[in-house]
Amino acid sequence: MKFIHAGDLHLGNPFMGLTQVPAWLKGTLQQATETALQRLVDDAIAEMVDFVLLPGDLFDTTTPDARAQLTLRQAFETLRSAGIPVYLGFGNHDFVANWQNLPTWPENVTVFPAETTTVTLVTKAQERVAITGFSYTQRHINDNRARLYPVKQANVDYHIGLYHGALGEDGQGDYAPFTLSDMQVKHYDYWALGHIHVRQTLQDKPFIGYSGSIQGLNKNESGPKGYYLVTSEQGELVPTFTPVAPVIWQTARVQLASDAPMAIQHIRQTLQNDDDFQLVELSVTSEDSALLSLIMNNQLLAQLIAASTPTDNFFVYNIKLVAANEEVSLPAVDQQYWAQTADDVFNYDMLQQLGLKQVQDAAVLQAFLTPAMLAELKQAVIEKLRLTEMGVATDED
Amino acid sequence: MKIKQAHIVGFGQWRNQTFDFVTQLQIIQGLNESGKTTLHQFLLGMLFGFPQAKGRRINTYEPLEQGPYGGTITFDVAGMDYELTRLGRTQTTVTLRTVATGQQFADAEQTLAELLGPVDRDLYLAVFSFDQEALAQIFALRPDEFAEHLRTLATPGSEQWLALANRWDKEATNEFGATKTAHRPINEALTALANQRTDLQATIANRPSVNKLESAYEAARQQVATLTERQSRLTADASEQAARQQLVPVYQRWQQLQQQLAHADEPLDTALADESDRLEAQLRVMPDVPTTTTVTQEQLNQTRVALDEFATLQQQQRQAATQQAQFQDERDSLLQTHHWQSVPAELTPFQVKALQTGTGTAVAAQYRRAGIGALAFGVILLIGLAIAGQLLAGIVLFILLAGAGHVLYRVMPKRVAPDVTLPAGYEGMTNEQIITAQPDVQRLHGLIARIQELMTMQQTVMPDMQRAEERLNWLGYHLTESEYRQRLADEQAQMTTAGQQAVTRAQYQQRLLEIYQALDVAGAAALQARRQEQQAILAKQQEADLLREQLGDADLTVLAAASESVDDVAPSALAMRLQTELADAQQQLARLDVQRQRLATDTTIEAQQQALANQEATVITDMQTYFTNRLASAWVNRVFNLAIGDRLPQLLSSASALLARLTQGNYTQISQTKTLIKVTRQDGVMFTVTQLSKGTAEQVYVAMRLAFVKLVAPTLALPIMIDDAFVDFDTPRQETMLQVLAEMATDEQQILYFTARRTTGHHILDLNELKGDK
Repeated sequence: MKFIHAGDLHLGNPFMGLTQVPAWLKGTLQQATETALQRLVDDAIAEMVDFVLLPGDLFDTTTPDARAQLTLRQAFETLRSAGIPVYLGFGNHDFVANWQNLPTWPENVTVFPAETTTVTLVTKAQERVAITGFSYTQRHINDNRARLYPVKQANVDYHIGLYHGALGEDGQGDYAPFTLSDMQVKHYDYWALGHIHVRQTLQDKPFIGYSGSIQGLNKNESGPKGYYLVTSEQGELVPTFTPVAPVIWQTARVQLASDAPMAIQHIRQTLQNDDDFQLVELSVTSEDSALLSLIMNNQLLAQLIAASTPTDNFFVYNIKLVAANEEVSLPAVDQQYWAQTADDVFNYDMLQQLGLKQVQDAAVLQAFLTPAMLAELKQAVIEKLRLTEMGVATDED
Repeated sequence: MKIKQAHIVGFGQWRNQTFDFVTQLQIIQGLNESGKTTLHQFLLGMLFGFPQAKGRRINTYEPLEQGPYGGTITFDVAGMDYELTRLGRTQTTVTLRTVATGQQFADAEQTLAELLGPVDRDLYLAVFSFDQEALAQIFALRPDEFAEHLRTLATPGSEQWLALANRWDKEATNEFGATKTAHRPINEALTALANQRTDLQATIANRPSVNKLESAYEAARQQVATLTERQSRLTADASEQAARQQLVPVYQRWQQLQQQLAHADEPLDTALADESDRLEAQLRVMPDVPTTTTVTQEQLNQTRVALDEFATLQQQQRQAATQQAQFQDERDSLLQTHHWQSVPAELTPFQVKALQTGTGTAVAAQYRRAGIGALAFGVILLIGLAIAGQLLAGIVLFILLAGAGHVLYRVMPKRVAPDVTLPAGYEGMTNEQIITAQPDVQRLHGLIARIQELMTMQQTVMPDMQRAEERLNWLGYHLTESEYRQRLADEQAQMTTAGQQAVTRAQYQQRLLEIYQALDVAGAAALQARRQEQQAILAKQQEADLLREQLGDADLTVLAAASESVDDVAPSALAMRLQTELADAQQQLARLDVQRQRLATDTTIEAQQQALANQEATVITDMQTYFTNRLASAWVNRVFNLAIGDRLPQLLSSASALLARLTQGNYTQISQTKTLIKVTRQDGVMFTVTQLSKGTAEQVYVAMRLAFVKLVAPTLALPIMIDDAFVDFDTPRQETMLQVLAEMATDEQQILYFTARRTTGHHILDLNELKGDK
């Protein structure tokens, strides 16, 4: 038996965190999720899989863009003409508000309803398979749904659980919180998890894990993205990761020494590759104060973007400065003063006070009210102080 | 660090000059223009590098005589003596070596920096250097700024840092205003972001959902189908009605014809009519021979007779001609035999005799013979003509001939001269020949006579012939007998035929009359009329049949009814309305189809989403920069305030003691409340720095600076350089200052005091003396 476990398609979503997108890149980005899906479908047909499992978040909203819907439907149609059924449940992003509004899927698509349901099928090799799953009908599910799943049926060769949620305690957590033991007691052969965009294995045998999204849409979803091709080997279901994402988020480090044009050339040479397209966040170390100044003022990034060409296989969307040595001493006064006052400065209240309270936009607020952002800001401030100490002009005047 | 010795190779006004310094308080005195500041700057240059850039405000102390630039200093750090050489202002060669070992350091600058510790030029100037200009600037500060400056003394560099922090704040707030009405770049960007979100929502809301669109499309298709069906039914009805309408006139005409035909007469008996036609035709083609022909049977009979006569005469003539021809042939042959052109005259027996004997009588005999001949001939003619019926002619001829014969017989011989001349023709012949030829001559003459007879006969026959011919002329002119006979026969036949024809004609006409009677018509014309009438009726019948066929299986009663009512044939309003509805529905369908197809390819929403994401990222990045600036500023402020706050008290207690010394006990304490520095006078009154006199404020300043040097001495040990800094102190104050300095200077703390004033005691390096010595 062979099947595909792919999660969190997030079809039609934009790429987050890119301040500039040159015209030549727009098309690539816009088609990325579609391309990944198409590759998945092609693989499914080439591998002649028995079925495809999609545990939720096919779309980012409950009202997905029509084109995304049509793309998905077309993909399902292609699978149907190849005789491959699809089993899907809706997740917390694309939960079903109104069953009437769902588009009509082709007949090979089975949508799990709100209640935990089990369907059975027989594969071409005459294996009997049971699949249990459910769909979200609201944004949050606080209770542990895993407990509602039936134990592995007696008359099937394989029983697979489709589950969209995150680890957590029943009653706490918004995404059908479950524990590993809840799943283990069901004795399923495979748990196809969805919701976490980063591939993650909770348990190897039997497999309980997230396949991650098939196309990374922000810098936290870096590296190759794809799906699991799961094959039966001696009664066990073993997943193999298969990358399909055409655009990959990456970080790279580079040391720069000379003037800007040379630096740009060096960066371009370093990053040019033959594989899939890369969105790169570049960490730069340099001693050259002129370069540092260009970097601090985003001028090097602007020049790098201007030097990009449509035939590039990469795009640098951000340049960060990092100190060559880890130990950065803060200037002028004893380190203890800096350390002492740090917490007074780097906290949410300070952010609000300094102007965040004027911001209404939910996404922006959410971006700033995270520990990760505070840490990033602190790092940036330290960098700024260090460079000022060195005499690098950090102002944009 | 203590500077022990300086050797100037070339710097400003100094050339090749060595200076020795003591390690504690070293007074360097010299009048104005003596080179104090130059030496001071030399020492600074040696420690921290010569001024690189030339500028209006930067004095680079190039040697006046353009000589070598630089020099050497010897200094002591932690008990070790070092020698530092710098030569050349730009691209300075720096060498550093330990005096003891002479070992030269590979990286002089690096080693020097290590030796100097964390002190760079700025820090040194801030902490250890006192010069007139800098102090003047500081004392020129506004009181509150001055007070603030005092605070920062505790933390060198804090002033710059705090200034920087201020600037960062300003830059940041330029980008983002923290008030509701701010319109700075980031505010604008946030508004734009909000607008973009709204626009996107609107676009999404306007975008039809796939399901809705599909069902709408299906509905539209249904609508079009329904309307089309209705329309086709309507047009079917309409065309049916139109067809029926078309048939109405047909039907009407057919009815008309039916009625007419009903009233028609009995049909003609066509057989009879045809027969009459045939008879008429035949009558017409009969040759138009009148019943009384001009040629009667009588005439024909007579003609026959005449023809017979003619034939006979012709026969005669022919015979005569033939005979004549024979005679002529014979004559010709005879002539030819004798080679005569013409027949010579016959010799009369007289002549013969004459010949034989002579001529003469021959001739007379000749004439007589001729006369007899003529007569005979006349008799013949007479007989002949009498047979022929021309008795009179024959008689006449006879008379004539008789007369002629008479003449010949009688008269002529008298005229003949008894000549024996030979008639012509006998030339060349012998008499023998002539005589032997005489039978031929006779024959010839006979022939000629016969010929002549025949000719004459023929001639006589002529008139008879002519008469006969005249009687035959009505048959034709100059025809042969057979032809005449033929024609006569024809005439006969004709006559016969005409007779027959007349009979037939009469029969026909009789029959015609019978027929006309039977057909009840007056005559041919009437019959024709009847015929035409009949034709018309037939035509009508045919037309009626055709129309009936045209009517086909249409319902006749309906047609009858329809023909009664006057129908309006214009297109109904219903049809038009239906057409418009259908056109609208089709348009709607087309629109929906386009929408459907566009849905699959329309990437505007995705593009908008990406643009929105980009704008979001931009706003976040800009705000990050904003916060970086503001947080940096906030942190710097906090840090330095804290540092100052920490250091200042310590500093202040030390500074208080110095202040007391400097003011000779007038002001006893410097303290800090919050961020204000306060000075306590001996009577306990507290003053803020702004309330002090300038001189006292300066002293506070100096006290704090010196206190700070003392404070950092354990970590930063560098010589203090005071370059004529206290010029505006009055003498007592100056002296007190010197005393304080002397107290401060230790083996560890070198103080180089440059002054113009004459001082006494201690270690004085008099530059004027030095120069004077040179």
